[in-house]
Amino acid sequence: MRSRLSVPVHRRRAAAALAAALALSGAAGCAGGGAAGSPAATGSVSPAPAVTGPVTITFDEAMSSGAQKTTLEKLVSEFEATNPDITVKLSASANYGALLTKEKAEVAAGSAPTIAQVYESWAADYANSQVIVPISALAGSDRPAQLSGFYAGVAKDLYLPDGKLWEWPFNKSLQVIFYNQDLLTARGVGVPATWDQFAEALKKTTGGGVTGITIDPGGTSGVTSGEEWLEEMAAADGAPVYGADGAPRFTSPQAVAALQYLIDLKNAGALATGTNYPGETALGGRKGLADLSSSAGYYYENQAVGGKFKLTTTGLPKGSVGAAAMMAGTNLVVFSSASAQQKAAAWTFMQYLTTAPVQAQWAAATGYYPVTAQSLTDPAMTAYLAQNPWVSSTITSLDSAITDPPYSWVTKCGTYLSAAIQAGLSGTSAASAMSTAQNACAAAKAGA
Amino acid sequence: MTRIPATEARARRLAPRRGLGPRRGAARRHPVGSRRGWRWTRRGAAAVLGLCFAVPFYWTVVISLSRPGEFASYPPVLLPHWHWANWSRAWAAAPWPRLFLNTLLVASCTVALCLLTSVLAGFAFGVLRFRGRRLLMLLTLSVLMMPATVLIIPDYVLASDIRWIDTYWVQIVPWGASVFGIFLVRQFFLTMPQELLDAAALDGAGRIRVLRYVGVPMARPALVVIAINVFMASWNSFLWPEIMTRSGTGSSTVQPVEVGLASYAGTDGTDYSALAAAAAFTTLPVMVFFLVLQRQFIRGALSAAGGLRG
Repeated sequence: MRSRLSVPVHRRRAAAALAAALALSGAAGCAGGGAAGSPAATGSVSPAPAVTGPVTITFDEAMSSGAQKTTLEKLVSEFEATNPDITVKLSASANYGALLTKEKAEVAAGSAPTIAQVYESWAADYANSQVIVPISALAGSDRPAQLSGFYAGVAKDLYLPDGKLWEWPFNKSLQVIFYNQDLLTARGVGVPATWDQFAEALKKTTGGGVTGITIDPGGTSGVTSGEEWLEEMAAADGAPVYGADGAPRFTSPQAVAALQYLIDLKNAGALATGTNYPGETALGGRKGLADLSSSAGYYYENQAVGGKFKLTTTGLPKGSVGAAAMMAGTNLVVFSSASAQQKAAAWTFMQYLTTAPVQAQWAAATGYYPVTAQSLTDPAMTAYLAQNPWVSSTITSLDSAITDPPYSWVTKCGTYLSAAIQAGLSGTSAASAMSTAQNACAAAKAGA
Repeated sequence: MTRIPATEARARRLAPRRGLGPRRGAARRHPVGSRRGWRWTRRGAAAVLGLCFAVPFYWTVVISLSRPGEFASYPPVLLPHWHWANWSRAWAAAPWPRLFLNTLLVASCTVALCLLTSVLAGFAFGVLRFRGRRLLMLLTLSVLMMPATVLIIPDYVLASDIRWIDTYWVQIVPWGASVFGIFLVRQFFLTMPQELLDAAALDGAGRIRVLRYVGVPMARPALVVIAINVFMASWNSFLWPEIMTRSGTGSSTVQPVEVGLASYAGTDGTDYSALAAAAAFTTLPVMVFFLVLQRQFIRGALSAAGGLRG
């Protein structure tokens, strides 16, 4: 994020508008009547009418680079070719932080897009403010036929705490670990199966200019793999950092131990920190053993490695109760300001995006996982799976993957966890850092 | 003020170097060896300073022409491998000439508008006497305390109400007044001898004429500083155009270069080779432009600083 030296003088007017916007937002929150919207807000269960004439839908997304951008554009072109009455206008943001700001601004201005990518907590916020419509209002059912084909974890992720289907899947991935296999072999270390073995491997391979792993602890700009790592380790030891009701459990012994794990690695010189996917650059430069990232980062990891060594990709190691990989990626929502024809077109487009052939094409090009197992036998996917057997071995984790609970304060609490990691790695005790985060998150929950 | 004829000034400057004029104590303070050493020291320092600016761009070009994976190599690749595929990939990804011209248009218009508003407001706050002048100035300065990002959503609402979203207007007009610029010009006028303005007024010049023919020429150093700062800020601006404009791949997009470049830092990684290629070919025109006109730039800057008069 960059700042500008000059400051517009019209901000006095803008301040007044801010006050008005906050007041309106507060009013909307009151009208919502609690988390995730009231049943009255969910609308009819009659399906959306069919598209009867030319209609344009806008799609706010963050697939702005590399294969993600080109593949999405290709899929949209193919959709428009088979649905000549529907035009899909993509509006790309550079990252999820910018996407959220843009969506909020558009909603506040009354010019929301037709559909948009959202994280679960954003969807909860939107549902609470009644600016999105439940998918059931478009599909005519809370359990559309296509839903049964999705991986269980993916399907479960689409519901908000009110039990209604508000989202539709789009780009889903899991946290995986990318290894420099040559380095593992040279140091006589096997692929770790548990977090303890992982720490040992990082320590054994550290030295001679190599730091086991480099992470981005995260910050106000959004969730990063560093923060997700902490969540995954706590969950793998049986204590997710959030309760089902979104209450923070940052001070559980397992959560504190997870931060202590990172601190110990840092003290042993086996963990470094950076920003902007530092693990990817370190791994590619042979300065790191491993990188913890989303499976959708595969395209970028390969770019960084460039064939310099063998890249091995695996699922996450296990904790005391098993492995717990976070499901990353976003879902789609439909905004209530769209016309009936736009909603119908949006539903047609969203269904198209989750068909098995389209998901196969999308997954093979981008590294995201298909949301349905039916894609695995699609010709577009079989060649990809043959080249990347790790996908087959990890994709079933979509059934049991962990996700952050869909509450509006969870986004903010993620930044508190990031701050705790940064504090811990800077010398604050793990217990103290997590306690500070716990208090901040509890306050955010209370104020929501 | 007596103006020295150009030929005489040149003669005075050149005379000591040619040994044609007196140079009091020069030989005593700077023996020949010492002068040569000082000259080489200055040249060395200039070379190091030049490298500090040149190496990042050179490194960008090297990465942009590197083969897959080389951008992350250690030790780093120092010579380009002429892998032009990155350039063609980046060039095809966005309408770069359009984005570049958009940036140029927005930055130029913003500078022009900022100079106008800074001169007018700075003159009013620094020279004119009216009730509430101090309070108004304080109110203007208080704008600096509000971070721009805090107001971006209400700003978006305003822009949307007047149908400015996805236009050049929204990228230019809100930034057409700079508190920094107003303050700088005001300070300049406060330190300027009032007699100069009074003399012009006595000769019958109105306020605008005084500003045009006395104030603006005298404030030129401040205006150059404002112009450079505003131009750079506008050129580097990212979040504002990212939010206020919509992405487009056609010739109708109003987005600037920075937004196009940011798209390479994606949601799951960064495409460094393509990013470097795009950064290189969007920076090259500016560099060529500067190199061709560097004599004029330097003369203008020196002139503005009150040194040489061209």
